[in-house]
Amino acid sequence: MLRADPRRLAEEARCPSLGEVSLRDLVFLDTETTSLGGGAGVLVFLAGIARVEGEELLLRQHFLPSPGGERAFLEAVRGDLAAAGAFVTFCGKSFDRHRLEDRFRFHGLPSLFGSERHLDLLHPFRRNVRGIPDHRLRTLEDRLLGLRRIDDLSGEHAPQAYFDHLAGRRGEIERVFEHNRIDVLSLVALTALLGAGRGIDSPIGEA
Amino acid sequence: MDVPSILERLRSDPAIGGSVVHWESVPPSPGSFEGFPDWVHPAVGAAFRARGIERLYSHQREAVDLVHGGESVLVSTATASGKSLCYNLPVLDALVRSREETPDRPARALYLFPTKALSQDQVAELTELLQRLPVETCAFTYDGDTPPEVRRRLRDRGDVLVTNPYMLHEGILPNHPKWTDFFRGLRFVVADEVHTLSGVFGSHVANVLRRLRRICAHYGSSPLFVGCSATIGNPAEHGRRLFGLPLRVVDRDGSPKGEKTYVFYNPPLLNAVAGLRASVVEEARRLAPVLSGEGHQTIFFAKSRPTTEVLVKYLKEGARGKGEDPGKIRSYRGGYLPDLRREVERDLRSGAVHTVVSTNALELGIDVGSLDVAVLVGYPGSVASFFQQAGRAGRRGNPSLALMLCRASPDDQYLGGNPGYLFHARRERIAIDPDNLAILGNHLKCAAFELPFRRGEGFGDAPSEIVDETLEFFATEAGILHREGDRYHWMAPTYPAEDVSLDSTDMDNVVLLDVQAGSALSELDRAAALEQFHEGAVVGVQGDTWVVDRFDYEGRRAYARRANTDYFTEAQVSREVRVLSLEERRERGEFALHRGEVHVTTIVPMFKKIRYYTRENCGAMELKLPPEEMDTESLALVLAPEAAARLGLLAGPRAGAWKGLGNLVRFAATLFVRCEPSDLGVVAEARSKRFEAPTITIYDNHPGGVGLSEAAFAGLEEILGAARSILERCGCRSGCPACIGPPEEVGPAGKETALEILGSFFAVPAIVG
Repeated sequence: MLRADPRRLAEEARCPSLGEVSLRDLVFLDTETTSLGGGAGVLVFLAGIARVEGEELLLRQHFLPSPGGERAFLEAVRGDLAAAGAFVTFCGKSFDRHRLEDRFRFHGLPSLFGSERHLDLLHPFRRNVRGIPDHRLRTLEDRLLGLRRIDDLSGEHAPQAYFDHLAGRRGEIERVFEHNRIDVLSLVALTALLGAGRGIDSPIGEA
Repeated sequence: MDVPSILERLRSDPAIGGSVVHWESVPPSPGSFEGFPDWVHPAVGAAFRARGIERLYSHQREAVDLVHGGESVLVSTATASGKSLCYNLPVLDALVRSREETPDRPARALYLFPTKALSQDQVAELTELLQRLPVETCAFTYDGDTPPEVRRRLRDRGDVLVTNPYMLHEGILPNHPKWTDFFRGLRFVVADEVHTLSGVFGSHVANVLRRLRRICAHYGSSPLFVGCSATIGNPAEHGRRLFGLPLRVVDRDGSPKGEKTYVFYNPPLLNAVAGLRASVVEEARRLAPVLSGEGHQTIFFAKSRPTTEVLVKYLKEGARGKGEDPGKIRSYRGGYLPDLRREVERDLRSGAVHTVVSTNALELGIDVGSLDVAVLVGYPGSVASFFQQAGRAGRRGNPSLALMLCRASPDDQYLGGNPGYLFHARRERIAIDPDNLAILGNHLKCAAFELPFRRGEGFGDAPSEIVDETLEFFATEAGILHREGDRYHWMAPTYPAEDVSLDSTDMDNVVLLDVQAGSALSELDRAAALEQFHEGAVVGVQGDTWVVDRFDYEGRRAYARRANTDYFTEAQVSREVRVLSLEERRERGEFALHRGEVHVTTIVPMFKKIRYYTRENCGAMELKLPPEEMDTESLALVLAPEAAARLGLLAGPRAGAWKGLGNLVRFAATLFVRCEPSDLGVVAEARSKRFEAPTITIYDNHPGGVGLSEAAFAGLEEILGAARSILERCGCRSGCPACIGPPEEVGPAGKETALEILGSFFAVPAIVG
């Protein structure tokens, strides 16, 4: 169901070792955190992880029900990421990766992101796609995938939704799950576009 | 010339000797030496010997033995007594040994210096030592200037990290997961110049160190603390409060001292009736041919940056006039760009420069080598600073001279008349209060961000019930912590260290640009820029002058062009307080005590042009600068107008007592709330707008307040009692800088009037309730 030429992905990502990775070993990852900045007080509370299994795309969301369970949560996330041949993220080289690594180190767990094999889609799309107002994921979905999110909870509201959830207040945590799910699916679609072997700045119609 | 010849000139020249009011000679001391301890790793001993260090002073030996034995230490000895060896030796020893014994967990050290310049100095010295070790080790500075691309490598590889309290607070501790190896191996925390960690700033730093120890405990390390300080009155107490743990004090200085002569010089009276004296800058210029020149090195300490520039200009012109090289005379101050500062430091060490004019920027331990003569152009304001500056002369056990020029100001004139005050006064006590609620609360937020708190865990030596109450408040009321079982987790989208400023200074500097050269000349913090970079200001750099054309307050830029003026400029500053709200009030007899918020406005309404050499006033210009504004907490002491009239405060010889009392009450308050005088502001008015009566307002000199006035208000009776006892015990007749201020300032009846005011306060019993 996912068609993309690994060599082309490697070329676009300027990362030759990606060309040796089978598409089945790609792991698509997006996290939600308690702050959009960094530092020891920032928790990852939701990790959406997808991979291709057989003819299907399997998407699993790991959720941290409360901070006391963080170690178990991180170990589950690590279990899901351990077999990855390469990571695919959007802006993950400067954000998601560091948030997770900080939490791993906090708990004395070894690093997972040591390898070079990390396709951060932001960079090839920023290099190749011109004439659009910005290169946020939302904009790429709109201009390249023809996808418009309806009633999407913007990412910056995710921390408050989580705080409300912890405090037992009615909130929008379910909408954060949905937001994260669509983010991960977009990673898959953008990877297909990038690896499709034709100009990625032309829309591909319905996804 | 050498120092004995200079002393001979001072004695024999009638044009000079007549103004010398006091000689004080401190005999030389041979010093007390010991060998390297046996425990020192041979390679480390060799590294020190290779730098010419064959034996240790006795205090160095005492300190290194204690540190090696696992004790935290505070070394409090004179300037230039080799304090850095007290930590470098045990640290290097541990670096080498740990690589041999536990290669997977090498020892690391953290050095804290109050300024970037000192950090760079230290890294240069350390690197020379480390290069001589058989193992590969490195020391590096980590501060705002460290480029992001090398930070990661430094975090992973640095053995000795040299930084400042600001960077530790805002950059390193909140990101400790990026420093796990560093914290795991951390064995030593070194803090130098800890006498500068005082007042509100020191209270903040003590809390930053509580956070540091908590993070170390998380990673399983428990570092020793080594502090170094100028000679202070309470080293054990200060060290314990700052580091939050018991420690040993080393203060028996074993370094050799050459004979030191202190000379007090009071410029002649120009007009005895008006009490006008020759300017000290003018006198410094006149004496310079005797005090400075080829063959020895002299440092002039000026009270301000502009004075530094005026004086260096005089000295260079004087040298030129005599056909000497003005290039051997340099100036040094904060605000110079780093390269220029490094160049002057280097030229002083190499001897290429024989005279330097400096602000107190060279008072701290920046290494400029051995100097022979220190000239204090005016009293630097504290006993500790006096001895730090005087201590810049006399590094090699050779005779040295410290000469103080007394200004016409009351403090200087008092010291000119009573030099014994300096030599017999107790050294200042350094006061901090790490448990100040506002400060502690802010750091508990930062600490909770860094690691979850366990209920009952405590926070250093802070009272544990206050810690628990504050955490519970953060969880239930403030909504920034999430309580789960007995743990509090940070749960907010913010980065708390960003909102906690260690010393309330505005980090946004104003840069002065040369419009013709298109390059930066100098920089200042905003408040100082208002006084020195305003339109029309004459700004000196190394004795050359520029005139400011335009001051862009919003854009934080000032533009100047080269101009040779025959005058310099001096801005006038005025300060007002306006009451915003009154929250508490109590009365006692004819006094009303208030607590509330005030708005403090500082304005620079005008500046004067003053001719070089003659100091003739040659014009004044009005300025239209935005005021510096601050809302803060305060207390007010208001005296009923009838009482003021009865005490003679409204006019005449007793009126000056009110202002003097204001300064004394502020001083007593700093003892009570344990802060620095500069942490509290004071304004004494003969008649305030709000109360229509004589009012002394004391306020937190930190935007928003940090609870100092509130604590002082609660203890105002005790503070006034302390003020009265200072006055009563002071041996002076009618006022001196140690109590209410000298008679020139508070009037001949100042002391007795102040005693009467305080007497009338205590004559009436307190009303309870």
